[in-house]
Amino acid sequence: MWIDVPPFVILFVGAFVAALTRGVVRQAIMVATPVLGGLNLIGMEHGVHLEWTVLGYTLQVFEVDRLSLLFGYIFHIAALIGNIFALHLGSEDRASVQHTSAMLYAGSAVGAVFAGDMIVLFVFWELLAVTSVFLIWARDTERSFQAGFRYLVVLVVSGVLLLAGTLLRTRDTGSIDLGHIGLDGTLGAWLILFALGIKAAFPLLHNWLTDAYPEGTVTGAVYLSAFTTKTAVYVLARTFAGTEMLIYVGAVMTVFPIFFAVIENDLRRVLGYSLINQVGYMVTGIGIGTALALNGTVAHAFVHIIYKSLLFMGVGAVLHQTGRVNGSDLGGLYKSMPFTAAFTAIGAASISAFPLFSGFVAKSMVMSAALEEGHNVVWLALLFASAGVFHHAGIKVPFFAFFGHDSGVRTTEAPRNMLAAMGLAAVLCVLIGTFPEQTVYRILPFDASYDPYTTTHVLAQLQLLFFGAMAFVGLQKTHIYPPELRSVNIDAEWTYRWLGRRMVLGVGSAVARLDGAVRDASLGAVRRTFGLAERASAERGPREAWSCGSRSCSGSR
Amino acid sequence: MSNEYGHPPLKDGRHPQAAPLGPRAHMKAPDEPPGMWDKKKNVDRFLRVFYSALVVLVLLDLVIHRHAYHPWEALFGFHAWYGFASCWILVVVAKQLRRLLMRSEDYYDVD
Repeated sequence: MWIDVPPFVILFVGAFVAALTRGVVRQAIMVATPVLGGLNLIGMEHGVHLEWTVLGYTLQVFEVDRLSLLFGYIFHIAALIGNIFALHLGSEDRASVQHTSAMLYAGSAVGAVFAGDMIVLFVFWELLAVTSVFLIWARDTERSFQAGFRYLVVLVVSGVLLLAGTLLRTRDTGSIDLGHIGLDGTLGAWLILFALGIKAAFPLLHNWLTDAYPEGTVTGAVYLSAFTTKTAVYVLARTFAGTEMLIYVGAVMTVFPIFFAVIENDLRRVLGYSLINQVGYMVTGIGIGTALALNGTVAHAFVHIIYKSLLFMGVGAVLHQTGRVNGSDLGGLYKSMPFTAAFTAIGAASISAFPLFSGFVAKSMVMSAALEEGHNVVWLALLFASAGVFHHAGIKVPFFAFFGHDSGVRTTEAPRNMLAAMGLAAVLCVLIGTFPEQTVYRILPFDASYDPYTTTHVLAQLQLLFFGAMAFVGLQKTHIYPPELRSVNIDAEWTYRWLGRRMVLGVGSAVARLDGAVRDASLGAVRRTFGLAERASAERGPREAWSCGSRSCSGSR
Repeated sequence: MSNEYGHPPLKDGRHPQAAPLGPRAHMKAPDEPPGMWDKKKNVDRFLRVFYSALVVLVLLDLVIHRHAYHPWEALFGFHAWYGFASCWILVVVAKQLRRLLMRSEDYYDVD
């Protein structure tokens, strides 16, 4: 049912209709729009579908190939899951703002992956930031307001860098094509990589994510976890595949956030750190750049979007029902929310890459590719991070929310639409994990065969996970495991949220003091001059011209 | 007043509290019967099954030849001890990082 409408248009139209309608009609539109948009992609022919000539440049607004189609499918699935999860929103939740913002955001992500050139990409790149910030601001707290502003500033800067890099490249090459760039030593390529790195949450550029996502609304965080970073992964795969530096950047991304995740109390922030860890595998795969590695990257992005949104939904449902999201304040909720607990456990098993769950069939491709290309140390780092993922996202999140120490908090099961969305995501996790050949492997863009279900792989992974769990049991039994504490852990963001703020305030007050001192000194000099003049005039006798000036000169300050 | 990490209370002297419960939540009734995982018997049974699985997984290394791509992988039970050591080191190091990184909950909120 190919109608040759750019896919983002369908979601944008849905967003505007959702803004104008209410009640059941709007709920129907929220479900129907991503379904229609997704069906529209099936069987779409490869190639450029829509061009627009402006200022002498031909912009390729809508171009399709296997890589963009895969991301197009998963973004529609993510939009559907997120929309179902948000169906219960009422006017007190700013439902119109959230629904419209979410679908514009999804449409921008879809627009970005079907962009045929850098200029169209830039437009959707900035729209991603501008449309999604309302999913943070709609929480209506002072914290979310400020976190939203920081989010917007960082991501808009990313867009400006992308545009600057694009212009420099266009000057050098005369082309705005969205194709392989690679680090060719030009400033333009570095600027573009830096812009992509901000959105992909490279180390030290990552804190906008862990800052803003946990401050988003319960339903907004589900969308946020899906689109922005994965759009960056898509563009990186297109433009910087095989850039060796990315292997190491990705390896660092898999390792360092898990330390923060272990000691972080806010469970949605734990998921934010684990999101960076997951994107690290994808970035490593892009850096390796072989067909297997790139297939691993995009397969991982595909399954990751589903189980990460499932985990954000599970924790979000807890926040929605109890008003709490800190590990220190929760526990024992399996009694009140058994379905949410079960769905979250499926998400946890998927992200931990248990056999038969979706993470298992995707993550190991990148790791196999690392070994094949002889990156042994990187492989050990990824393996360490795999055990660590299980530890914080697989065990910690479900354990502290639903089991562990019983907080005594009781509530009821999440609303039916939330359960339906979680159930849909959970079914997809198991389906993809059990039947990868029939699902995600069919749409992989590159030609590389991979069989995840070998005896070696299954046994090795089970050993890794079970003995990782053994460490958790041991650490709990010996009381070495650090308790969840209400606290903030400082990270790279300290440089701008604490140091930068104080430097600006310090420089500002220093300038104010200097300014005051200079003004006082110069006013004093003026006053002394007039005093001398007055005394001199008094000695000579009064004169009109002097007497009127003295009051105005000894005036303010 | 300080907790085990020497972490001071907030500037106004109070300790940070749990977020207030939302309208859909309440505290448990005093006469509520214990849940499935409140019973030590169930937890112990679960752990016995879990420990047996650990033993089986390591013993399988004796009968199944894992295809090793990396020399370390060929070591007996490599993934088992690597997984165990990774998680243990991760947690112990992260716990020590708290000394360096942990601040009060309103660290960024106050001037």
